[in-house]
Amino acid sequence: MKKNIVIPKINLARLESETAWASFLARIVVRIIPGNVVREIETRSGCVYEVLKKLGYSRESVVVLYKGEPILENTCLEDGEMVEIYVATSGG
Amino acid sequence: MRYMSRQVVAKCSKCDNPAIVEIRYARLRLCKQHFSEFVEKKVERILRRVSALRKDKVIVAAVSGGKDSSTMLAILSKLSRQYGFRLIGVHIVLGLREYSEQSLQKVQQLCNEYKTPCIVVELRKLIGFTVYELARRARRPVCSVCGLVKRYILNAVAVELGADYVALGHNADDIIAYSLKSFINQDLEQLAKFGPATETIKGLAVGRLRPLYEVYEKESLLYALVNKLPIVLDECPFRPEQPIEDRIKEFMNKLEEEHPGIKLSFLRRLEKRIETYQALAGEREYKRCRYCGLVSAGDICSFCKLTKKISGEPLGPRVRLEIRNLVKQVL
Repeated sequence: MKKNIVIPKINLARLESETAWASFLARIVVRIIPGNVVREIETRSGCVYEVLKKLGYSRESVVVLYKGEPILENTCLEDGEMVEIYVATSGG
Repeated sequence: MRYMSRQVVAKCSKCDNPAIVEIRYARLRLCKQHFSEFVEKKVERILRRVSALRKDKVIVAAVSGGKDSSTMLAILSKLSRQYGFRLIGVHIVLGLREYSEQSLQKVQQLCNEYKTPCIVVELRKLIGFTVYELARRARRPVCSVCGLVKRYILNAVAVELGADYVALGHNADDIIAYSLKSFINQDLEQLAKFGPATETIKGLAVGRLRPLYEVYEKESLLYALVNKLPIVLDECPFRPEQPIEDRIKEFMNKLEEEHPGIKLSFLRRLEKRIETYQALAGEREYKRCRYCGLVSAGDICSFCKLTKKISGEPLGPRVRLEIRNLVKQVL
């Protein structure tokens, strides 16, 4: 990840089209809380938003932490990096 | 990685610090500090709207150790120092083994950090049963018995303290889910209860206050994480697999993603219409329970009815006596 938290100006429609990002693949390791389930998600962009989409979470229902700090959903990660996803909708 | 060259640093809309969250309905990107202030302001506005920000007010905060009630207690504690109202936390140990132990530990840690007095009520010591044992003997779902017991104890504590409100950690998503569920069931009278505050019936029942009325569930969790509040992250072991409220929340979150602010506007409209729903519900007659003297729909309150059924005697009077002693220790 870059030193600063960054927002790539991604055109989401383009991101979803197979042709635009087919050449790039980033595997993001995800730990889901509660439950502590660890999964590896293949993405084309490394963008957290894409990870959430693949897992079926709305960005309105989760908080994503990178190295213990919250990050924006449109932050891009490098191949092999890890994030923690706190699911807000599960309750006590 | 072509797009990397087009990256820009995301700064907070109010300062130069890096943004940690995007509040789409407010068109803001906020850093940790400004996000915390944003949530605190929301709570302050709700309390101001119901005239709770006064020195003579006493607020009892129900704290379970989860993200919502912990966020609520932390913010109320800050506001209490600022405006001078009295804040007292209440935690009920339900007897759900490790989950309850962990919750108690987090609540005590939180109350110490925020210098808020806390009354801990242990159900087993109080009535001789855990919530699970009560449910099993009564042959009722655990969640239904748990809700009944918590409502009764919180009200009993608040009446004993002479409190003006019992503050609950219901967030915006919870209230939307409850109200839509009531609508689906065409239980429209219930909608009258989903405002930011409900009325107090003097000496019988203390009104409920929902400080997180306009705080989204995600914001409540983020506030707890950003401010490093001690919270329980595990789920209650008796939580149903797929409660209807969760499905409604998923649906509303999808709508919110497409139409930022729709949840907030739903809540504000609901609040405006509360009087209509209250009229629909009509004037309710409240009685005093024959055994414990607290609010009841009939001759005997639900708590005394339940405990009488399983133990042969209504335990309301005993609970009230024990709570009186606990309250004396705090005052």
